[in-house]
Amino acid sequence: MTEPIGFIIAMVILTTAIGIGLYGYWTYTNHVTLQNYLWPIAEVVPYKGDYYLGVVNTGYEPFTIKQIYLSGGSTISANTKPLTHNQWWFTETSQLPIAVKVCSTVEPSICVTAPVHGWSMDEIGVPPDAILVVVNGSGDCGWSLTWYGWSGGTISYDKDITFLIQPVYGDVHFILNNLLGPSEASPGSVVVFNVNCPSNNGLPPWLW
Amino acid sequence: MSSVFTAAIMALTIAAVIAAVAISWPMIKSTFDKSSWSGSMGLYKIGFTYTKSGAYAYAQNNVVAELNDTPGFVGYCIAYQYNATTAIYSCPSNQPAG
Repeated sequence: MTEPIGFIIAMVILTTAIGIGLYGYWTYTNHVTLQNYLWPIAEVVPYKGDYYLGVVNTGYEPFTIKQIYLSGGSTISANTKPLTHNQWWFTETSQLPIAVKVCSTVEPSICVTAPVHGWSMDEIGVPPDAILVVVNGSGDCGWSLTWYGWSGGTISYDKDITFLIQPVYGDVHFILNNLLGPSEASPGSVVVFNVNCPSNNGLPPWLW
Repeated sequence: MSSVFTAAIMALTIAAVIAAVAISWPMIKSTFDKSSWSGSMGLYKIGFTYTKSGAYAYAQNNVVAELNDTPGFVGYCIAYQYNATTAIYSCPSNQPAG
């Protein structure tokens, strides 16, 4: 009689222990799984003396941003609205942000810390069948630019301007009026002209 | 009796192993998914080109946006026009700041 009872008790204890162990493991895997699906991307660019920080949720698990870590060692607390797939959140900081901590909206105790990606500079490309014209430094006088060759045209203006001459498949020559810069350019290049106003000997513009 | 006990232990062990594998599967899959996501983000880039209507940013998945002189998002990047010929940007493929 004692043997079956002992057997049953042993089985109950064993099953309970395995059940508790599996439950603990299940809780752990749930935690790791949810953490693995938090996919924040944080980026920063310098802007007007400050830093412009953006955080986007590239995944499908919603999260909130809890903290921003700065390069000086300090942190900024944040408690944003939940960001869902492809939603952005922006802020400006005076110190360089280096990491952000985001926490799951579903289970706020599950968090990840994401590094903030830094910035680069890149040239804005010019199509191979175009010439990019940049006129800088306009102020007190008007200027005009005429081009001829594979493409022809003229522009008169009194402000900074950037424009494309397109299409061009060969060299273009320039006639400058109140401008300093190159006299010709090839397709795919950038030409920069600086406004060079004639001396006015201190006279007001209406007496030049 | 001992053979029944052994059989029961074996049955419990097999059930526990099957349960552990089943429980582990979502975690294993999520680890692979995260690795794949990290890889794709590490390749995420942006390019800039002028058109007749202005400067444009081209990100992956055919995302196109006009560049402004204030930062804005283009796909998963932030970018703005710094001067007539230069853009400043930050993308998931950029190195960490600091």
